[in-house]
Amino acid sequence: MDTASRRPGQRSHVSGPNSALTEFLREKGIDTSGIQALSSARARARNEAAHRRSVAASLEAAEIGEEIDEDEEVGESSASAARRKKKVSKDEDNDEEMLDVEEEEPVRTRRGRASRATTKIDLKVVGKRKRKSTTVKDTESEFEEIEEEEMIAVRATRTRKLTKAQLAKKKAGEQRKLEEDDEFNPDNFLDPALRPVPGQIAFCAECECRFTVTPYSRSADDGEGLLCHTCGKKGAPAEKAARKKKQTTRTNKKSAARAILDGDTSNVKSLQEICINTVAKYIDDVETLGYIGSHNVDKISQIICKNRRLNGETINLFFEPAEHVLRFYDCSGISSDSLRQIAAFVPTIRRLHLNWCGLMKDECLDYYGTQLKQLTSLELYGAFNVTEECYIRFFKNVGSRLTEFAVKDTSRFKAAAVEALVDNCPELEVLRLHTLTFIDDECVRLLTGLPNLKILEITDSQASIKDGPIIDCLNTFGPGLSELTLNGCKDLTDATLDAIHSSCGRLDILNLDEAELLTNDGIGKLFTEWSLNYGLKELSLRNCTNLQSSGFARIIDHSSRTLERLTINRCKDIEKDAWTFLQEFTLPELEVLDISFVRCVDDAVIEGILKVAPELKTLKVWGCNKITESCALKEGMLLVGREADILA
Amino acid sequence: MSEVIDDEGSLTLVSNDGFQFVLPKKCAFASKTIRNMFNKNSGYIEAKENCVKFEDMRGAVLEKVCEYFIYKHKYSGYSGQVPEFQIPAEMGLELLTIADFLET
Repeated sequence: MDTASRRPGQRSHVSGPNSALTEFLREKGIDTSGIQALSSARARARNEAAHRRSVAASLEAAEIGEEIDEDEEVGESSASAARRKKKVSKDEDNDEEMLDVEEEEPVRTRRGRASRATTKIDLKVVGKRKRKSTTVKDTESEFEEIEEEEMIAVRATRTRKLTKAQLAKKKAGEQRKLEEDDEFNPDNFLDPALRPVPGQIAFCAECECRFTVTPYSRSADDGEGLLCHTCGKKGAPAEKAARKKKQTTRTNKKSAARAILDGDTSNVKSLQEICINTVAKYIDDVETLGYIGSHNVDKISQIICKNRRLNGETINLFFEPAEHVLRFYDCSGISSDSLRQIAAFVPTIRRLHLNWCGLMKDECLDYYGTQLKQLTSLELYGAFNVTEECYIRFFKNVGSRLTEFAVKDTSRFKAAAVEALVDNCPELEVLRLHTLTFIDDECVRLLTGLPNLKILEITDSQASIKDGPIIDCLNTFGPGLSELTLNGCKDLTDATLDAIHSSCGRLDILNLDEAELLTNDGIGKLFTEWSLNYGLKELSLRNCTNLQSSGFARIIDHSSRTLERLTINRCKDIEKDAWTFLQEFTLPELEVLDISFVRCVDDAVIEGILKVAPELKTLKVWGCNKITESCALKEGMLLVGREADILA
Repeated sequence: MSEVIDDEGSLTLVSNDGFQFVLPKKCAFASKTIRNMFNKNSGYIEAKENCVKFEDMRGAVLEKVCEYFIYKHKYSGYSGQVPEFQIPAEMGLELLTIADFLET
């Protein structure tokens, strides 16, 4: 045999002669090593138990000293059990022979143990036979000489008078112990070696009838023995109810936590909501939605998309011929042809929003470009199959009609597409470039050709974006900008902040998440004497870790009157003095505040914030572990992420 | 124009097939539309007669709407587990348009 073909760990197929059973097991692919180990462990356990019992019995026997006839029956059954055991171990021996040479060593020790176990059982048999007929002399007699003492102990067991009930009790006690170890009764703990074999006969602790033990047999309430199937069933309903109750409390807690995360404050839903949920539930049976108001249509779309029920069938329900706005939040199950039908059935559409439209192909977007004559706004999320050439054709077809464009999650939207967009759509006011692979400095510089831009979002581009092009852009359309989102542009520095300071007079929303290089001084400077800007409505500085109390004070000083949403998530250097400073202001418009992972926040800070921000509706405090349950909260305000709520 | 709304007593809601439902005003005012009708300053005839006739509502649907009013009145402000309000599937869309009209 080629030595290279022999891999380590591969079992050799050379084996000696073996029994029919061994052959059969091997053919069926049954591995006997597990069974072997189990049976030897069981035999050992039985012997230990027998030994323990015999010691106890010999003590008791002295007191009782009576003989019973049933003894024989018991002896008989244990003898046959022993014989069975013996046979099994013989078979095992045969099986072992076919094992590998490598396994020889452990096998040998196992065999040794097994034969030892067999010996002990044999002793019992000998003891019994001797008592039955003293004339019997067989080969087993040699054992008597070897382990005289043990035999006496065994005989003591036999001579001990046992009633059926006592026997059952003993057996049941043993089984109970075993069962306790099993997963059905995890609270109890018992010697696993005493595991009763399912299939054994036992006596019920309650009605004393004979029954066959199964892994599902229950133990009696007082712990004395097992219950038969009928008695076990009696207790089941109560147990089931308790389990159910436990489960419902868990679900309640879960749904309460979910409601907090969803921002769901009122416990009674509006009738419209209930109806929408019902309709969404039976959406497959709905033939037509009829006139239910476009905001309700949108809500139904949201719900069935959330449940992933939007498909080629259900999408037809939303095709109202005169509709102007269509939003589908999960188009992953909709083929390119079905998406194409949107333009065929609803040619009047002005705003189209498609999320996760991964199946969309070039011809679909081409069709939109030519067919949708009123389209002004398009959002395509996850259309990764659409090629760059197709985007270019689309922009040429749509031309200056397009005022809003958003694209997300694709690697095929590159500089050439941006160039086509800038050249063909000069009226563009909203541009959102979200999670695109190839948006870099070059692309950003091209955007300077869009003088009418009011909203610019560049989020999570995988290429690095530096200050230079952003400053160029801000110099062109900065004065008109109302929203600037540069989320995840990690290379931005204070130079960008200076440009914002000098040009963005109308800015309402500023998002500089993850811009870790911004300094406290830079942020402070942006908000110092920024009279050009009246005040921001939304500010997000998530993970701008350099922000300190002094910078925060500048922000509040400038925008406290107008701020509606403020995020300073993970600005860990903000100290307590910032919150003291805050007390001198009021934040009349503030509705959402995210101060997660600002570690200094405690109950007093929260209470102070509630005092100065009367309109506050949502307060996010993930990771602020100083906040306790005793913190006084306002009715109707949502506190999200308090550790005390989650851990309770 | 200021709101003068008296939410004491009861009112009657009538469906287009003649079913009448009498329920406390407090409950029926869960609907903003009905509530506005009962603003004395807006001079609706319904406010005087304490009776609203819905020409485009079947008795069965109006019954469900009334059930909802009572349900809402009972459970709003209740902090425990609120049972779900059941709507027959076939009534969903019809009820949705009506709920939209009633602003509830």
